[in-house]
Amino acid sequence: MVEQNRLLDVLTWVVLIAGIALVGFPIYVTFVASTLTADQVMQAPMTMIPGSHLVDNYRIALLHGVGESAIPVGRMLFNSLMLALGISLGKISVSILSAFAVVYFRFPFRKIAFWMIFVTLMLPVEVRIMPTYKVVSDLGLINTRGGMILPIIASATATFLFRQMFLTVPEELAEAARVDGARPMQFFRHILLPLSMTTIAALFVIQFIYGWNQYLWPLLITTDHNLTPIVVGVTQMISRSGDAATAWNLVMATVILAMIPPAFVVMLMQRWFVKGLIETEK
Amino acid sequence: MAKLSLRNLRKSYGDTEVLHGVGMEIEDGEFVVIVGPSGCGKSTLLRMVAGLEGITSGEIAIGERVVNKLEPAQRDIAMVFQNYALYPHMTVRQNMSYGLKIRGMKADKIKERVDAVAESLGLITYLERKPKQLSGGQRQRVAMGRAIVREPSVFLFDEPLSNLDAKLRVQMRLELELLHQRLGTTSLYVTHDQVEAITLADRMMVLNAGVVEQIGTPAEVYGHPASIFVASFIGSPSMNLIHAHRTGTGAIRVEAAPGGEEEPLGLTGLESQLPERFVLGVRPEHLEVCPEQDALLVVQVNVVENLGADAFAYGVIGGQPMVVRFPGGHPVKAGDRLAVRAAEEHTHLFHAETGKRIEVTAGVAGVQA
Repeated sequence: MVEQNRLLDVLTWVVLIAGIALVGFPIYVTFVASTLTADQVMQAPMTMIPGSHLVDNYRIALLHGVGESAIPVGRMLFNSLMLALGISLGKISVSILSAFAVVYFRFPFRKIAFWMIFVTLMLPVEVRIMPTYKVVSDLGLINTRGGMILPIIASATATFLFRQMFLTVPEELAEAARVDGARPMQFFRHILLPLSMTTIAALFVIQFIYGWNQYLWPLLITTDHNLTPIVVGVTQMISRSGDAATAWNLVMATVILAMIPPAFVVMLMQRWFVKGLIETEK
Repeated sequence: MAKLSLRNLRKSYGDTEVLHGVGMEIEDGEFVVIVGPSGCGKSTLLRMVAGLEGITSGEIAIGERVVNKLEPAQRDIAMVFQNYALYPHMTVRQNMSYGLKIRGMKADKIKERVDAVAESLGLITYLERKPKQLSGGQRQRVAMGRAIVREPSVFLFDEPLSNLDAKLRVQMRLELELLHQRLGTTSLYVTHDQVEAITLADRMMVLNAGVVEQIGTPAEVYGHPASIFVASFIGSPSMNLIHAHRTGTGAIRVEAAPGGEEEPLGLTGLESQLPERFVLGVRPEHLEVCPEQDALLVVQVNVVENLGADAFAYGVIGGQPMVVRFPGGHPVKAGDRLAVRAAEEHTHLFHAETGKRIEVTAGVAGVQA
């Protein structure tokens, strides 16, 4: 909008501020709760002014853990990081290679292979969770990082995105590389990979967050507390039996800690992320 | 350097054959241009030589070595692509070095070669730039540089000048000629531009719908076209082609196109050598005004365009369009009836059905000896 109008300006600000408040308020409440003592959190109404226990709460959560299982949050953050990195890097490597095969090689059933990948777009993990569990358990991967990561690595979306990106690379580049004597994998490494960097960055951001937020699958596949990622860990901190009180201040501190890494990844890669999704010129 | 032999090459995609047996022996150091309209198969032919396209049947040999089954990199060729195909993320130096690096050449030797070639192409100050930061002409030069550093036996050019503007095209054409003089590498060059073909070629191959129409020097192709297709494709403005026939009484007449009438044609003495229907070809620049009794034909002038150096008179004969070129400032004007003739060697006769050239022996009346 190029129109200059005070009323519209005010309206714009009102809508924006309302939006920010709507999204930001729960996070603020979480933060405030994480700085109070357990008693202060349970008071109704809870205070909206941050308390004095910030350092204590975060130290206890990070180093000692909360609730019945009491896994240190530091450990869970590490598990989540491994999970998110494993899933995002795994997805990127698998899908960029399959897109490379589908676009640059002529082999029997190439079209069928592509469409089979594409069709899996329509099946979320939850739908195929039973057979997947069976496969992973037959492979002896229950309670391992591999078991948490491997079944989620295949990605039709990423394959499709890479395919579309490869199709915009002029055919002559591949031919010039052939005339220059590059073998297929040399062409991939020296030319295609550098050209895909922005797409890879964009996908990394999306997949990192996707991996970080995995809940159902890690919950199913791991019983070993040493492997529990933070998203699963948070729910385990909440006492269900009613015998023990939930330390809400510590749970809230954990939640804030769980939000920091993905937010950091987004902020760090933002410029690349946008470029990767909109860039067309190759 | 080596000679390049194309032997009865055929190419099919499924049931459709796009090249119907193309053959040519290209001598060591020769610059050969393949020219033809779009879709005639010229690029396919070049890509078959490069190894980017399979060969359905026939044989390609570089030097004495048949290369049919070899990968492009093993054929000792270098190719310049129409859109340059520079690696966008690499600097000019990296672009030019890449092929040598893949072959495992030592870094200091690569640098030496790249520097020498960049120097000769005036690229030395651009070596650390990316292709995006270069103009069209500079990119073109980098593409050529990339081919030159490899010191191949054969250069292949796929319409390398067609993405440049008209002025730059002329300039790069001259540079290409100089380059060929200096390097003397056997070159195969594909273009649809007949001016490029005539100016660059030692010999040219005119290709039409996957069939070789004529192979020869530019002078031969221009002066002695083997078919109606070649006659109309080479030369600008293109050759006048007048449809004519022998009447029942044996007289030779210009055929009447819609809106025209049959008119006489001064080709007496040739009746026995001509088929019933044929096509007379004369270039606009080879016609000259003459007394009516000596005329090859008489043109009704409709429009005169004066371009300064030349003037073109556009007219009709028997309803068929015709162009005559005059030196600039000639007093010809619209409405004139123009009696013209042409020297014997500039009068071409073609079969109306097959389009093939007819060689005649006797002199032609109305034609200068």
